[in-house]
Amino acid sequence: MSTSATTRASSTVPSSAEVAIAEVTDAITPPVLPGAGGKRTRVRRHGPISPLGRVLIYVMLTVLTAIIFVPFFWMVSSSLKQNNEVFSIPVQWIPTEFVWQNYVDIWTRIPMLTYLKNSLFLSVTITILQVLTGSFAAYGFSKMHFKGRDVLFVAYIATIAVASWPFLLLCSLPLGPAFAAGCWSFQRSRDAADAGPLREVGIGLLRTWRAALAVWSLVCALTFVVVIDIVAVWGTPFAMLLGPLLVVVLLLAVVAAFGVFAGLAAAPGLRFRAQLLGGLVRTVRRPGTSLLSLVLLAAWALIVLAQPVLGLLALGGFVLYAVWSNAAAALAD
Amino acid sequence: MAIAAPPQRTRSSSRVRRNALVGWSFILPNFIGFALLTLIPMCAAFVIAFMKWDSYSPPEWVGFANFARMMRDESFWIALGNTAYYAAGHIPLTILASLGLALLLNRKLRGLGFFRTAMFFPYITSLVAVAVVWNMLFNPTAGPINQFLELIGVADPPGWTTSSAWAMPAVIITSVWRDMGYYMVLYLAGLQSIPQEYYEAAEVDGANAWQRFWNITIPSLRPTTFFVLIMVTIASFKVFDLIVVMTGGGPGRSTLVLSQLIYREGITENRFGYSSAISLVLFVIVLVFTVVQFKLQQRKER
Repeated sequence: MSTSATTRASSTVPSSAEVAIAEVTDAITPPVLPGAGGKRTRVRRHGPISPLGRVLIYVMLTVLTAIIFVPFFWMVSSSLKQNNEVFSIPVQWIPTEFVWQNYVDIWTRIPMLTYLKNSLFLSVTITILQVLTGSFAAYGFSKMHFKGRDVLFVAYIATIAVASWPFLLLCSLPLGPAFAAGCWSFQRSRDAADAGPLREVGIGLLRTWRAALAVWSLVCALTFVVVIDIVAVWGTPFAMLLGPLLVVVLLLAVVAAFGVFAGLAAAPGLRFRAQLLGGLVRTVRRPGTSLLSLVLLAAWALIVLAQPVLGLLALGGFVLYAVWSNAAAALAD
Repeated sequence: MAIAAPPQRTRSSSRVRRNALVGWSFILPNFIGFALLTLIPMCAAFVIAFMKWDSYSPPEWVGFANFARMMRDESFWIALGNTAYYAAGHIPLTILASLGLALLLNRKLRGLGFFRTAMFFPYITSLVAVAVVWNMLFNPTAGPINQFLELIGVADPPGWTTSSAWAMPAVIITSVWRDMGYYMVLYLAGLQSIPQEYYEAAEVDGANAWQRFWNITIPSLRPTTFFVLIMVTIASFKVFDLIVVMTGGGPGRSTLVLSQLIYREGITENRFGYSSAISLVLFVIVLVFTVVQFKLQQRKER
């Protein structure tokens, strides 16, 4: 519900160019044609209007119309005045002398024809392009069901920035469920001797991927914010204080995420909020364990950076097992 | 279903692929224009907002420096305040005026078409022409408005676009005059979709005109009002052309609005990064207002 609200909301915030185009089309095709609508549209009435009421309404409408038309009247009347007569005291509503010459001058003094041609070209081109491509696209979006349609639609309205490292961060999302599944497999292998480790990975993936994905998304979002913040305070006096603080917060979050993964494996029945809270509390209350997990993960990250193949293939399982057993130990008491 | 799936899979997957091709080809013409003119520039603005970029040096990543600068920039706060002022005047007045006009014109009358067209007239007129004419009408000494005010006994009529206190009210009056016809049409459509039976039933129950209005018309118009509210809010926050032509942001900075500040910083001063940062803030403001309105509407519907 909330996502649909946001996407619809952002779709109503187009660029100024879009609005200009939309206004052109709006002006040409208003929802109800006001002039033509008078006779044909269904008009509501509560019985007959009394003659007095009718007169009153006509008087009101006439006064309103007059007020609304004052600027137009002024425009027409000024266009027929001498320059010095436009601002005269008292106001000259009707020119003393009709200067039709003004309408001749606009064609000779300025390239009026070129201006008109430009305006005409713009409005015709914009209208044709907009109606043609817009109706096609609307048909495609509403009547066709195809792969990538919803993604495309979201791209149309959400327009999210994609930079390089945030993109990598997004790509790392599957890591969360993978870690959680690993923890699940370790847990089951310890609980029951005959459990097939690989099969348990699959089961764990199925059972925990939602929660794990949510937790890992949180970590990614936090990483994003922290990196942006560090870039922002870099070089300012605050960096001394804020930089380490932000890094510590981020590291804590990473360890807490692993704590939650271990918790998901140990007590799959628990509610998500309880899991999250438990992971956080364990991380903060067992600083020694957290630190150990952190050191292990950091060492692993360093090895992966130096020797990606060796780090990922040979050491990944071991490091993960160590981190998990560490977290599970914290879980046990 | 699940058992019958395998033999059908090849056929359905080729159909899916063809569907995708056809669907994309329907959307592609529009998407090319949309991507080139809206999507890419918007994404670029989100990135440029974190850069220092002017016409003298290559772009350089500066993180939140543009936003920090914005916090210290007096013009930004003035523009933000003025935008809020404009919105606070324009939104309620436009809604009231257009609803009033729609109620007045939603009956069987001779010449109804003429009156409806008359009310819609300001909206289809060129905005620049409108602004120029109203500027003349608002002329503090020789303009018809002040001469009329003096006629009815206002000794010291306001200076309108030449006074920093009255420039914004002048702009708001002009914009309400221009926009009310358009939203009146939306309200008319809303009014005509209210079933006549409601009113008949209310009359049988002895409800007077006022009660019918409050208990039938206003609640039935809620979706229309909601739509109008969103459209007017977005339009108010993005007001640009009317202000540029009528006052140019002046006198002083008394009518400077955010869109104009974005234009000035980006196009006139060539500070693309800073300008993008302001537009990002404006985007977030409009987004927040729209989302809040959506939420409130959803809660009311429940």
